[in-house]
Amino acid sequence: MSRAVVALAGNPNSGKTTLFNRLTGANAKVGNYPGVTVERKEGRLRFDDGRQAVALDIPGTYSLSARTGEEAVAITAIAGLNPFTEPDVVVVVVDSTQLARNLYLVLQVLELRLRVVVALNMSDVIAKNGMQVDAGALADALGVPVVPVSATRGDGVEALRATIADLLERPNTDRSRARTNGFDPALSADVTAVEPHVPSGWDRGDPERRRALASWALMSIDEDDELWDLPGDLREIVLERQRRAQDEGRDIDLALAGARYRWIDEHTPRFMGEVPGSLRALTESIDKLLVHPALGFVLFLLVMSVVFQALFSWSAPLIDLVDTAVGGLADGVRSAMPAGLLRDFVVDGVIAGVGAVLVFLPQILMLFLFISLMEDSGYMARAAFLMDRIMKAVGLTGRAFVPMLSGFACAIPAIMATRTMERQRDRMLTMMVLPLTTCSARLPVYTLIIAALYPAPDQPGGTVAGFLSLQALLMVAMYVFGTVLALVAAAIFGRTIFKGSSAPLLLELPPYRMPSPVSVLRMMWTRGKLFVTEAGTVILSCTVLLWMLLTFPRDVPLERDYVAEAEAARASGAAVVEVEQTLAALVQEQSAEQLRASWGGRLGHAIEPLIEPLGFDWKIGVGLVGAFAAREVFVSTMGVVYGMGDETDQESVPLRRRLQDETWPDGRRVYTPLVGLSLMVFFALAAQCMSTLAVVRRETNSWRWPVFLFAYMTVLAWVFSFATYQGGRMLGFS
Amino acid sequence: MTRTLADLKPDERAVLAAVDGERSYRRRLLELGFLPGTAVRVVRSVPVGDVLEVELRHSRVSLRISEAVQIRLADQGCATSGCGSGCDGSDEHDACATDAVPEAPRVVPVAVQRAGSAR
Repeated sequence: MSRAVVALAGNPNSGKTTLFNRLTGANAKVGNYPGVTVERKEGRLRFDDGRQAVALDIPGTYSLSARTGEEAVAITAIAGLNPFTEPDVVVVVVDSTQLARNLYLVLQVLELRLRVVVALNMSDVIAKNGMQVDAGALADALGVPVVPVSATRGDGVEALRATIADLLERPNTDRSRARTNGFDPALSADVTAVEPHVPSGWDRGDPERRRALASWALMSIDEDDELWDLPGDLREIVLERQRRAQDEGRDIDLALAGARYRWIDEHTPRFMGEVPGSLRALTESIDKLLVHPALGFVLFLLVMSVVFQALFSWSAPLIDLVDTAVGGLADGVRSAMPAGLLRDFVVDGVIAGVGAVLVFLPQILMLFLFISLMEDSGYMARAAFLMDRIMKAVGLTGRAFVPMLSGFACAIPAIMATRTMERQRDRMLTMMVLPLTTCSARLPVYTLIIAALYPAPDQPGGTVAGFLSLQALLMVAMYVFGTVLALVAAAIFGRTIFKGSSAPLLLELPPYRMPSPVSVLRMMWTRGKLFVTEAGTVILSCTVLLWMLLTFPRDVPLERDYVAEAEAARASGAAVVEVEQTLAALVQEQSAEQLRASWGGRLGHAIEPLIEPLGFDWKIGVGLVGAFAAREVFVSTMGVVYGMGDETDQESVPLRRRLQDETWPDGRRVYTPLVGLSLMVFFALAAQCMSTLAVVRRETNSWRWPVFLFAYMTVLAWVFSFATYQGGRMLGFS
Repeated sequence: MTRTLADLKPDERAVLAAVDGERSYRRRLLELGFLPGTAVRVVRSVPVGDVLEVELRHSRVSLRISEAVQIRLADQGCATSGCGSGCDGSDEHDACATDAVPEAPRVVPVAVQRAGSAR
């Protein structure tokens, strides 16, 4: 026999996820819902008698009429429509402080004829404030068990568990019933007309359930909904009834929602006592500051500067730690394995690839630490609303704020964060411009170029206006540049490709609360894991591929006989130190020549005519080819290209010096400050990230959008680099 | 001119008459309880940020002020006297309006003195 399934449903912010974690312990696993890419959480629910059930966390929703992919998942999972099996018990989690609104969803679930238990969450908050909700009276009114709980404190969780176990024992026929009756005759006629078109598998032979699904269809389907897999005849009949109602001056949505709220308003006095002045005195006082017309923005900027300060400085020691660890591992393997192709593959391909992935984790986790803190404390909803004005001006919505902010860590979790956006247009628009924000992979490239080509503060010309560091200013400028370009791109695409307006904004500003360390860590963990699994695998395989491109073919005829030269050096009788220097130089020169002849080197040569107008030579071309896999690969590729060894990082002084000395065949320096700027502009704009393209492909389920993203960003990068380099030359810079 | 939710000042109360606007937004508002005849109170209004937080049925929702203009309010006469069926119908409060004080001042803190105000 298959295990029983217990689904947890509820409004956003109802504490559903906290309760889910309480019920299942720490064994929740995250996956995707079948058929759609919306995250699913599944856990094991254990009962006192040793039995177990599968607990399913359903995306938070205010109602079952679906707009977003997440909401569609909610209705299909609760009702047990294909591909879901019907849950054996549905736990509807209710926020007692917002009871009326939460009851709307409860009534909708009851209509579907399921085995339901209502978890009256935040019962401690209302008790503390002297408000009364009579759980017994509510249970009588709803006809299903009601259990008061406090998910944050853990109160009532065992009682809820026992109630679920008890429901599972009861006969399968003992099911919830619709509480709302009394549709007016016209609406009843609409529902009756739609009923025969509800797919036969959906109603499980229950006429009441069929009627509920018919009224669900009447309220959910419209010309531009984003519901998939609906039978065509159901869609047709609903649209026809809606048109007819409109012609008759009737309002189906108002009638359906009104019927449920009429029940709620009628019955509320039976189970809810007098409401004290405010359940949220503290939140209201805090909001006076944080959502203040002027002060609110100042505080917002303050929070953001702390976040970015942390991103740059606080994560540095951790990054060094990862670097050292990976370097140590590489050294260990290098000395343990015999020299040869296999060792090179393991050290330069695999270990370097793993290092390339792990080195970003500190920054990514740091940003997600702050995002998690902001979300968990309740501040994020306020920040989104404060930013809404600016976002709306460029055609985005406040809901795009979290994804855009996440983009400063890594575009991949950021793109996944767009799933909650209710309109496909908004989601696509955000996804298409988000990769322009300065993700952490651009940082090593900027660091290398800025440090190599621009004077430090203690050098002549290293300061601006006498005290500002030129290097620091450039770095800030690159971040601002990427952000501004993302907003401008949104404004342009929002008026051309993604015409139409963004969805109206409806948000709940949840009460402030102390972030719980467990849930913050959990959020950091899931997002960090997304990066490692999604980006990590791609970066790793690209690094390996790149190593092959730069290593093969190996049996090319070389211009010089390095072996003979080495023999000669050894036989010369010069001092040991000198001989070793000569030998080391020979090894580097040989690998440089082999690189020139490698596939990667040939590719660099092949694209040189394309990138020469930007000020780049073929060696930079090789770096760019590598960087299309993942941006930061540029740094290690340049290390290989210049024979510095592959353990080169952006802090490497020899690499910096080598860049400064590099010349064109005619003796001009390759790396001038202007070329550096052109190169940074290119990196700011180009879509050099296979993982991002792969995720966009998966999230949009089409090749069109990743191709578009790649094409527009690459063209944009070329044009801006060209303008930077050629414009700079015209102005007399070199 | 019909007053809308966007016209309300913080802590001001009113009764809703009708919700206009495109279907998906309107439907979501209806589901959140923005039904004709519902009493609302503005908790906070931040024009610079285009934010309006309202309380209805003891639940809270925040929306854009620029979009709250689609939520029409019943005449103030309705809000105080409740004057029967006129306030429930979306467009039929003319009868009610004639009962109301003619040329009522634009902003009247209707029923603010009622118990239950936050501060």
